[in-house]
Amino acid sequence: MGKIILRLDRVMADRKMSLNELSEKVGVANVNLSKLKNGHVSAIRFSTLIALCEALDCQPGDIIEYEK
Amino acid sequence: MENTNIKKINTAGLVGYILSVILIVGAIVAMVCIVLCTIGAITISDNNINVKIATNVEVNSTGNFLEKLGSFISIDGIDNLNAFTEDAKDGIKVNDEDLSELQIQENDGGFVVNAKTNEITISMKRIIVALIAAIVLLVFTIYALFTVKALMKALKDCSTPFSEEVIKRMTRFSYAIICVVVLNTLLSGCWSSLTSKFTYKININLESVLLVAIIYILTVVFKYGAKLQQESDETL
Repeated sequence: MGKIILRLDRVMADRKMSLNELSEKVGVANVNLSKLKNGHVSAIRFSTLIALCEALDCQPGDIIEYEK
Repeated sequence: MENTNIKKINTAGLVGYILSVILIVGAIVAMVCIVLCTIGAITISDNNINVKIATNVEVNSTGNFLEKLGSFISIDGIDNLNAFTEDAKDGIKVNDEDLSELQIQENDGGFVVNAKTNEITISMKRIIVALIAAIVLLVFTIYALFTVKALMKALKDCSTPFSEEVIKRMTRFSYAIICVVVLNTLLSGCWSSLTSKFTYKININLESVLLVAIIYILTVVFKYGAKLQQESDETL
């Protein structure tokens, strides 16, 4: 079975955005964003995804990848 | 979950913890007494002991005295109280149990029956078996009480009842209580056969079975709740 990988660190690096800055823009705690970055979550809400896409000016596909 | 609800769970856990400690102490004292009794029974050289059980029944009745009495004791062919008591002097049978020294007195509202059973001989071996059965049951009961104590301690200190610790304790408790109820059902025959002829009867207590089923179902529900809680915690 394949898995979903979050590429948040790559997009953040492209945008030259720090975790603290993103945390302020998205309104999600630093700790939780860190969990997202390291893939220590089992699900992500649409509202969080929308906030991330708005803050990073990207598409959901840029953040989420499916790997076989 | 709201803090007030957690506080309620913590308080209930504290009360349960204190109660379980008291029950454990009581159960241990009872077990020590039974162990001493067993040792005493083993050291007694007699093979049998004889006992006489006295019984006293007071019945209030407004109708025909003998008719009412007939629902308790077989009184075929007896017309009045004097004839009945005269006839019963040598002993009568009630529920296949021989009674002697029967005295029946009529009073204002009904009658009073005093009687003694004939001597019942109880084998010492049966007493020892019953005592050992009681010890086995008490050992499992004490284990179940320890699991309750652990569960209550977890509830006393928990920040959510759907934590891994609480679920683990609850599962252990449900398995322990299943063991106790099954053992109690199996061993009850040892005690019921003490005074009668040796017939091993299993009495299934439906209330206990229902209680165990409810506890087991609650454990499964809590397990599912914990899984949902974990999923919720891992969703951002």
